[in-house]
Amino acid sequence: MFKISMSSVAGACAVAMCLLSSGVSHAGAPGATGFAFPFTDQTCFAFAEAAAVVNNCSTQKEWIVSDTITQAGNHSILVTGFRPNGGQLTCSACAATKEGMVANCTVPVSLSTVDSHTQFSIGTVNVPAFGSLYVECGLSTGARFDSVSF
Amino acid sequence: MTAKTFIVGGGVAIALVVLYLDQRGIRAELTALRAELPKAGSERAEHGRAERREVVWLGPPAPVEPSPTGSRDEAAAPSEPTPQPVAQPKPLETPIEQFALVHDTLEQKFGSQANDGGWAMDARRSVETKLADLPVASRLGSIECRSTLCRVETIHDRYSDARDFTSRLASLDRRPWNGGFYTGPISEDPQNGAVTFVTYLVREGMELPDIPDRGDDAPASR
Repeated sequence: MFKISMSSVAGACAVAMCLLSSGVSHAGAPGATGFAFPFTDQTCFAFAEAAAVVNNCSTQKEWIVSDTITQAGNHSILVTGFRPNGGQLTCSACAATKEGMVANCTVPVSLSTVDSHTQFSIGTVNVPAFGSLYVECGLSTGARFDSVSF
Repeated sequence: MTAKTFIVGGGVAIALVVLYLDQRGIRAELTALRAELPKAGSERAEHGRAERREVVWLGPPAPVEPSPTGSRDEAAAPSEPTPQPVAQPKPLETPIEQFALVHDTLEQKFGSQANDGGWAMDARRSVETKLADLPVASRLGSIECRSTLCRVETIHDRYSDARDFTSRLASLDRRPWNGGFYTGPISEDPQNGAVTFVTYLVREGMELPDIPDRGDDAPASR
């Protein structure tokens, strides 16, 4: 039993080291770390399974999640979300300068899949030196913002 | 069981070797890049463009451990009990300097595009209409569309006015354009502080053009 555990641990370490040496890097944020825009719409959103948010209001509302550890340069953004049949989830990523001014945004992309938690690409933004990036999504009733990968 | 342990152990050993070689390669690249820095700076100055100001990261007031870079430099210098020289913060880049690379890249791309008659005319009209209600402090300069890009110049009394303009461009529900865009300042009037912004609107359905990584002073926070 002990030997099996050691083998598993050693195997996991080997995989982890291979990943590290290949330069794989990933950062993400759960939907629940964001905020409603405008702030007054905050009451429309409820936590779903602790880390995601769902719009419970009857009209489309916007939710923003920002990346807190952004490296300058190009970032391809993936959003995972859910929309009920007939609903909408549309997202765009924007990069901002260190002064907080928007520098570039991707075209808004709508999730095509319905009734299933799906990851979709919303394009690539170019973050200026010392800048930041955020993702803004419009959610119709019942749509869910699960997470974003930067 | 022994064979399995042997295989896994071998895997770990291989991973360690790969990791070691990878780090060695990165160190070599870093050394080569450091050697290139002064040369690149002088070349840049020769080409007439102001050399980019460096950002100096200050360490904590009383560092417990010197940074890896610092330790190398300090190893070469004789150790002194006197207070260590504190790196002076240099001014950060202005917004215009920050935008220079994006501006250069997109100007080149825009300049190389042919005029797509129908789309260019429709796009220009659409932008004109949608930006017709700019506030008094912001004015529309020129609009020109080619095959996948429109180039829009706007003049703003202050940066704060330009901020309102860019916020509008980014807003999901108030966007004047259903496509990606880049925007930034290209000049500032020293007399009255008015700033000229150029915005590149990307044709609907097209990806944002790639901007080459600067690969210099960007903070590597992960």
